[in-house]
Amino acid sequence: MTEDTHRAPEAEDSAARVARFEAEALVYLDQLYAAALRMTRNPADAEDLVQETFTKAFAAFHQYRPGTNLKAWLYRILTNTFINTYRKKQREPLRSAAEEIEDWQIARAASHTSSGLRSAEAEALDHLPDSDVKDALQQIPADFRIAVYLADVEGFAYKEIAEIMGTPIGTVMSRLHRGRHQLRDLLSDYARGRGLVGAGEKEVGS
Amino acid sequence: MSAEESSLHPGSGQPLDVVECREALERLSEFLDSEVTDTDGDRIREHLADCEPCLSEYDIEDHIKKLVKRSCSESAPRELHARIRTQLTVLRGDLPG
Repeated sequence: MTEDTHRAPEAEDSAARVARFEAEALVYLDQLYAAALRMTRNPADAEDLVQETFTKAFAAFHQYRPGTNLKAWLYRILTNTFINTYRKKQREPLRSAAEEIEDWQIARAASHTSSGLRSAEAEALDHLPDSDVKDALQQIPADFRIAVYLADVEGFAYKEIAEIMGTPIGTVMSRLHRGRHQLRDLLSDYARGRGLVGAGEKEVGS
Repeated sequence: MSAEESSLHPGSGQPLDVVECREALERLSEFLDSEVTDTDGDRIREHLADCEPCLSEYDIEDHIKKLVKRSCSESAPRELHARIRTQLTVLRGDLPG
């Protein structure tokens, strides 16, 4: 097996390991905090979640193989810790992967007009304040929220998101599809509430 | 539901067009996320160029994707940076070697 040659050097002493961890992993602290904030929905829990993530990551750092995707590895620890600790506390319901796929297949009966937004109104969304977008994200289920965040903010590939969330790629696609759909409905409402788009979606023909 | 709210659009009476729209819409997320092959990407792009309702969907999804990215950049508080560095110093003491 080649595995051992990819692991951290056996001879690395603790000082060297701390230095390597600080240099390579701590640069992701701000990014992980922003993600944690979206996951937990409050700053106190987000700080605890990030601290716990780095504690676990440091303890397991000898298992991380240099040259592989460190950011994805850290996100996986973050996501697992959130799911195992904070989500239980926040009482967000879990659904089975099979259920999700089934829902998705129903939702996939796609139509053009699901949002009631017209093409010209897409640009109106750009004028929504960040706070509205964050509010909308907070309202969708955690699994959907995390998938959308990992894809849109971090730009992870589906395969990486699947590894981070510990699910098949089909489930990732289902979560993205449904999360974005819900997000879009919410954002359309915000845009309407702020008068950025017309109150009704029908052609008026004025 | 009024006629305007139906999912049909001009030309959708032809079965071929319906199939194309359906596929394009189903795969819009994958297309936006650059998760389709070059060939499929070209096929979807071609459809979007010819189909205004689908292009409109694409526009909205694309705006939302960028909106999410724009809205979610936050830095951790300085105290958290300091707290984690301090903790690493403590943990380092626990390591063998």
